[in-house]
Parts: sequence; structure tokens; C-alpha cells
Amino acid sequence: MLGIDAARRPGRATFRLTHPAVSGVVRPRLILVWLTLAAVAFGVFCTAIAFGSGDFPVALPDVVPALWGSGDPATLFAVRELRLPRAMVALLSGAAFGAAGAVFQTVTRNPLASPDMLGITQGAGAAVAAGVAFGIGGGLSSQTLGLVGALTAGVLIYLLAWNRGTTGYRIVLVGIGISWMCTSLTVYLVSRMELYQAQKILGWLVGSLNDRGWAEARPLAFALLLVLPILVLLTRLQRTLLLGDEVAAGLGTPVQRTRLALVLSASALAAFATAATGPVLFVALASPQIAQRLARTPAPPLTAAALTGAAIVLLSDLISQRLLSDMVIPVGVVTGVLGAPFLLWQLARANRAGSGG
Amino acid sequence: MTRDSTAPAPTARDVASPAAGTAPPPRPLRRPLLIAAAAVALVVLCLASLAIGSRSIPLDLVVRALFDPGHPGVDPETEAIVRSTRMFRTVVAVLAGTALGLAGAVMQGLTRNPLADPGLLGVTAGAAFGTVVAIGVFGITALMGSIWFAFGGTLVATVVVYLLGSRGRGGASPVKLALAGVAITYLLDSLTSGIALTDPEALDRYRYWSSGSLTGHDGGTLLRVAPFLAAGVLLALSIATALNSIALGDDVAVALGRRLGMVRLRAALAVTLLTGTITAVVGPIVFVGLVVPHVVRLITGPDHRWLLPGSMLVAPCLLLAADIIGRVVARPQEIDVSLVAAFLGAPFFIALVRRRRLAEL
Amino acid sequence: MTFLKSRMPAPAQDALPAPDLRANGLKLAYDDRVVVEDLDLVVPSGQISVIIGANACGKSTLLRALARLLPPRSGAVHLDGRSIHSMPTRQVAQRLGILPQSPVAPEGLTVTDLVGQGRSPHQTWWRQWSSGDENAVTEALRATGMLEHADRPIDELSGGQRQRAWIAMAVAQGTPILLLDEPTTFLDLAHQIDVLDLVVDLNRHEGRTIVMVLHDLNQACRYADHIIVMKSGAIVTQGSPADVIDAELVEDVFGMRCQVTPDPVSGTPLVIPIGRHHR
Repeated sequence: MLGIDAARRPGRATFRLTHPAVSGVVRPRLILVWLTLAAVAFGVFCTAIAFGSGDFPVALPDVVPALWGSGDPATLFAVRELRLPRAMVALLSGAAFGAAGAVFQTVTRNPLASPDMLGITQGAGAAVAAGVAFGIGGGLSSQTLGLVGALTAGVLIYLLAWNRGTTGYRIVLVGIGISWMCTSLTVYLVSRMELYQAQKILGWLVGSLNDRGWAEARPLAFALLLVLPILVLLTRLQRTLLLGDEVAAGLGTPVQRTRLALVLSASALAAFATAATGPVLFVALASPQIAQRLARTPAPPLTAAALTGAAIVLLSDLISQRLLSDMVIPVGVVTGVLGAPFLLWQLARANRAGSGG
Repeated sequence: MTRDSTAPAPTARDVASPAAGTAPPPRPLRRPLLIAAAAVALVVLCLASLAIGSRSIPLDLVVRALFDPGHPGVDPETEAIVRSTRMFRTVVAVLAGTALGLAGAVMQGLTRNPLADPGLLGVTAGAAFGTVVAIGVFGITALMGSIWFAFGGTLVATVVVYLLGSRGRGGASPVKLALAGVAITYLLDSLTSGIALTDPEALDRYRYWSSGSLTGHDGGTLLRVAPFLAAGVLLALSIATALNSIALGDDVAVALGRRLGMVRLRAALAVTLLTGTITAVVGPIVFVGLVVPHVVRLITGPDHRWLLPGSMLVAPCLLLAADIIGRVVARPQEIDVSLVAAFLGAPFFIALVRRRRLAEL
Repeated sequence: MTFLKSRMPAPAQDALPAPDLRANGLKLAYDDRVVVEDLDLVVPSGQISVIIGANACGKSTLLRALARLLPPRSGAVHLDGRSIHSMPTRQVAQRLGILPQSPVAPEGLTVTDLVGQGRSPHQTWWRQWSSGDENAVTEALRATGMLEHADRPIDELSGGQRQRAWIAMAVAQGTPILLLDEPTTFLDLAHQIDVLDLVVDLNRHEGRTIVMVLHDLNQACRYADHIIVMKSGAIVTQGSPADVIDAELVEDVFGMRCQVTPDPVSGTPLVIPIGRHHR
């Protein structure tokens, strides 16, 4: 038996099953935002495959059947071998960045907090720069180096912020410290490099989807499959953290363990995404803020933030491939140019609606 | 009673109960002691900065060269090094430290956000963009030429951020200002990278500028930027008590008779003058403006009447010390000051954050 | 003003064994500063206990320790015979609720969402809004008079409404023990009395054990079954207000001369301070 009463409260409906005893609160506006964002992301995804790199033309209506394996061999090859992997990397990394940003902003209760403000992304950058400069691990790809660097930074931040428990505030401050240590190391290494090395590193440091394929998509997909369910399960506890540590503890939330799980999960997401694409800046910071304003929730919504991130990265990659194809503009440059005005527009709009910052 | 803070956690609770993690009230002597110690350290570091370098000069010769020019005991070459190259470098470091420390403290007070740095309103990104445009688009490579482009970039960026952040109800609230600033920063940084990546010459010049450098300036440059800095310092110091009111929340600040819009405008203007000028001259020196106010706050507590002068004195010390270390550790090469400051300052900062009960913003 | 007219719901916790909350040899400290040393306390079950004392005497600290928010340096707090810090925190939250001083809600959170959080110890990830949750939240909103504001964001409310929303959250948690840290701050006199009457209702009708910190001595005397007087981190005395409160004690604990007469309304002790200008 299913009971839904949407009329009881505006912006909030509940559903309740008796067998099994499943129940929950549904926010129609949030679901609408999910569907819209998912539709946008899927649309851009298909467009990216239809008009992606290479000259072979694929008609937009042929994309979806080709994804399922029907179509002529040339189309199938172009779609499934050439363009799908790259589009998948864009989709997955965008989702991972968006989700990681949402978690960091909730845990620290700070809209400026995100993996690229707190040193996780910078950890990846420093590791890759060190790898190129010293030829450390000649066998290791920048993907592996970036992953190791970002994960190390994430764990370090948590450990260093621990002093009989952590607070969101201390995580932020320690994150700043780690971030600048890594940044200064990276800049130092880059400024001492040969120009051709520097150009290569700088290309990686703004994030790029060039030459990305299944090798990057697969680990990222595994990470998302593993971590996103954990984060979804933690949403219930995360909501109580928004009321402050004391109230959350009073409500029976294991505050420190929840925060540890959240920070490590989000760090892992950011690390895998950074490893795949390089630090695509701004997505992790802006997506949760954009999603929060679209859904009008009190905190950044996880799923909507992930979808927003996916849409931004997909669209940015499409633009950098197609519109700017004669230049070597990587996706990380476009996300800023694309995401910033959107966030600014949202800010201005939210002001008019009167819902504060 | 809309609370409009970016860091919503600490308010009356922290004041009322010791439970929530406020710092113990500073002992009365600590604040004057900090100022005195920082002033002494600054003088010592200035002398050290004049004496230490690729060629070490004994301290007595430094003093003689400074106060008794043409003294027969000092050879003209030494005197030239002390009185020009190193002198200007030291002065630039002191000015940059002063400006960035002060701007950082003001910015954190203005936005009530511990992540705020002097570049938050798009200032640094604007300067970088101006520089790259000057090199990449107009082919200007002379330092004095690109400085004005950098300065123009900062002004435009800050004005845009402020206009966007203050739209609509409630004016320039901290969250809106901070988010608008970050958005503009990323926008400009993306454009900067875009230009730099497509123009190898701009990239080469940009990557040196972007790591921040105190060298290569003469009296002329300093004289030209001095009025902007002076105006910024005066403006910043004049709003210290107003920032104290803002720290208690917007409503309390209004109740205490503050005109929020005016205070925020003056704060933004002060930060732009200070950061914009210094960034245009020496490039983006990160970290100092962000971290020094946190360190000073641990000692002085959140009172801006002590915090602002304290940051003004401690920041140049950090910058000078970093510059001196950068000259020595990798001889004969030098390491850029902002890298040393961040790399050595960060562990110290993390240790402080761990050790102390935090005075939250 | 008259938000407490409705009858309280039928006591739900009657079936449960009466809660037993006690502290043995508590030593409480913030970093190096010891606030409470060697404190023993048995919270009287089924009664309203009020902790009073001068500022910074350790009242809130004790309350936080009783609610396992502050781990003791030595000694222990026992809930139903088990050390509260060894129990799963969620299990504690089903037996004991705490409302800390001046909590802060994120912007845009509605009253219903806030009060709904009170149900979190009873929820699982697949059962997030059972009819039990719904009833408890509605009852808590009704009892606190917040039903008409249920859909408004917390940040739009007045200070008094906001405080009532938080109390509603603690009430919705449905615990046999409820700890309240100065629940009447931010409220005007009428609303203070409303909240205290609500507390009495929760105690009389639902049999909940209440421990709260109050500043107003006369309200404490009126509403407490059991009063606990603290000074410099130790319990000076405890018992029924009539037995405990006299001019000598008030002068000792608060450093204030006063007269104590029977309250003309309730008959409980009424403390009338004597300021410097009335000697």
C-alpha cells in the first residue's frame, strides 16, 4: 500500500508503504530539478557523442540506438570506441566533483569550501608536478600520481585537523595550509622546469579531457559506484550535522564518525575525478551552489549537485572540442567561463526572490 | 533576523559558554607585547634583509652605508648594493607585507569567512588577467607598462564583483560578495589560462610574474604606487571599530549605528587599493594575507583595533623572513618569496590551528 | 500566546521502564580548565529538576555531561545502569534528548524540517517518515503552538518563535528524559511561562523526566520538583525548593542579599533581591 499526501505541506510530500515498511519525505521541487538536470546532462551527453572529436558525422537520433549497439559499423565505432569513453569521463568526473563539493560545503558549513579550496586538488597537482620534474615513478601515469597525491592530501587534512575530534572550522583552516603548501611546491617546480615540460604540466593543471578514454573512465566509475551509495546513506545523518555538532550529537548522530566518513568519501571522489581529468577547477565549488539555488534547499543537495557538475563538464568539453577546436583550450578553462556567469546569474536571481545569499 | 553569515556556526553561544571553543580572553599585556615584538622583529629582519644575499655584508657596514653615505670605510659598490638593490627589495617586501596582511584581515572581517584572502573579490585574478592581456594581446613586455594593465584589471574586477554582490535585497552580504568574488576569480583565471596557453611568450612571462617577485623595482615605481597604498592603509584602519560591530552580526552592527553599506564599500575599496597595487607591482603573493590574520587573531583575539595593526606588522616579518630564506637556501639561485612563505608558513600555521582553541570568526 | 491549550497526547512512554540517570564522581574540564570536580548526582525519575547557580558555575557543563556531549575526565554518567559513553549514541538519543543553548539552524530550513530532525534517532534510511514520525512532529508543533508557522523558514521567525521551534524539535524526539539548557532565553515573560507550563505538561501527562538549567530563581522554585544548587563546580545542596531555598543560601551562592517569602500564587519560595540602593 502506498500513501502519498502532497497537499499537507507545500514543497514537501510524504510516501509510506506498509509492506515493506518504507517511508520518506519527497520534495517535488527537488525531484523536478533532478529530472531537469538529468535531461540536460543526457542531452549534452548525446550531443557530445554526435558532434564530438573527429570528423565522422553521427546524426543525433542515431546516438541512443548506437549506444545500445544498433547501427552501421562505422557509426558504432565512432560512437562506442571514439566518443563514448571521453563523454563518460566528462560525465563521471563532473558528477564526482559536484558531489564532493556538496559534501565538503555541508560538512564545513561554508559555501566556499570545496576540494579545490581545501588542498585535495592541489595535492594531486603537486604529485604530478613532482613526478614530471624529478621523473619519479617513470612508469606511473599522471593519473596514478594524481590519485595518490589527492588521497594523501585528503587523509592528511583529516589527520591534522584531528585534536580530540575535528570541527568543520578546523578542517577548513588545515585545508588552507595544505592547499598552499602544495600550490607553492607546484609553482616552484613548474617555474624551474623546461618550457615544454611547464606547458605540459600547465595543460594538466587546468584539467583536460583530451586523450581520455576507458582507462580513465573505469576507475572513476568504480569509485562513484562505491562512494555515492555511501554518501546517499549518510544524507540522513548529514542533515543533522547542519544543526551543529551539539544538536546532532543529542539526536544520536555519531558526529565524529559521520564526519570522517563524509570527508574521506568526498576526498576519494575528488581524488579519482582529479586523477582522470586533472584539476577541473570551479566545478566542485559552483555546482553545489547552483544546485542549492535551483532546488531551494537549506544545504547543497548531493544528487542535484552531481548532476549539475556532470552537465557543466559535459557542456564545457563540448564547447572546447567544437567551438574552440582550432585552439588548445582544455575543458578546465571553459568550466570557469561557463560556470561563473551561471552562478552569478543565480546569485542575482536569488537576491530578487528575496531568499538571501 | 536573517543571519547572513558565510560561517553560520559561532554566535552568541561562543560568547556565552566556554563550551563552544572560544579562545581564552587575551591577557591584557599580550597585545602590546605582540605589537612590540613584531616591531622589533621587523627592524631586525630589515637589517638582515639588507645584509644577507648572494654577497653577505657585515651588519656594521650596512648601518654605516645606510646612515652615513660616502663614509670612507664603505666601498662604493657595497654602498650601492645596500642603498639601492637591497634597499628597494626590502622596502617592497615591507610594503607588500603591510598591504597584504592588512587587506587579509579586513577581508576576513568583512566576509566573516576564514577562507577569505585579499584576492577574494577578484583582485588578484584581475591583476593577472590585466598582465596577460598586456603581454599577450598588446605585446607590452616592459614592467611599468604591464603594471597599469594589472591595476586596471583589479579595479574592473572588484567593481564588477561589488556590483553583482550587492544587487537586490540586503545589499552586499558576505555570502553574496564572497561567491561573486570567487566566480569572477575563476572566470578571469580561466581566461588568463586560455590566453597564456595559446601564447608561449605570454605563458613564459606570466609564470614568472605569477610566482611573485620582490626584485627589479626602483624608487620611481615605489613613488608612483605609494599614494594608493597610503590611502588604502588609512581607509582600512579607519574601519577597525566598524568591523568589530560587523563581527557581532549584521543586525547588531546596524543596532550599534553602523551603516553596513558604507562600511562594506569602504572595506572593499581599501582591499582593492592595497591588494591591487601590490599585486600589480610584485605579482600575486598568496598565503600571507590569508594566514597572517589567523595567526594574529590567535594572540590578539578578534578585536580589529589590535588585529589590523598586528597583521600589518606580522605580515611584513613573514614576507621578509621568507625572502631572506629564499635567497640563502638555494644559492646561487633564489626561490620566490611567496613560495617560501607558503611552504614554510603552512606547517607553522597548521601547528597553530591544532594547538590552540580557535578564535572563530 | 495561548499555544498550550490543547491536551497533551496520551503518554507514549508509560510502557518503558522509568529512566535512571545518574552521575558518579564526575570530573569535567575544558582543555586545562577544570570546571566540575568529583560530582555525584542522581536525577529523580519522573520529576522536574532545575539546576541553578551563578554564571560560570558549571551548570551547562554538567548538563552537557549528562547528555554525553562532554566526555568526563574521570567518573561516569550512567543511563539505565549503563555507562552513557559506552552506549551507542543513537540508543541514548532514543532515551534522552538535549536542547543546547542558542543552537543555530541553516538558512532556509523550515520549521517542519527542523522539528522532523527530532525524529532522526527513530529513523532508518529506508524508514524516514513513518506515521509515528508524522504524529510526533504534528503533536510537538501543536504543543508548542508552532503549527501555524510550520512551513516558514526558521530565519524568518522571531526569537521567541525560533526558540519554540527548537523546543518542538526536542519534544518530537519523544524521549523519556529531556534536558533543556535555558529554554526560556529570548522569550518574553508570557512565552517563558508558556514554555515552562509546556514542560510541566510533558512531565505530568507524559511522565517525562526533565532536567533544565534556569536563570530565574522564582521560576525555578515554582516549576521545580527538585532543585539542584551549584557553586564553583560543585553541588551545594539539593531538594525540594521549599526545603532548600532560603536567604542564607542565596547570599552564599549568588553573593546577593535577599528576602525569601512564600510566593502569593504558588506558595513556593519567592526570592526578592535587595540591591545596593535598598539597604
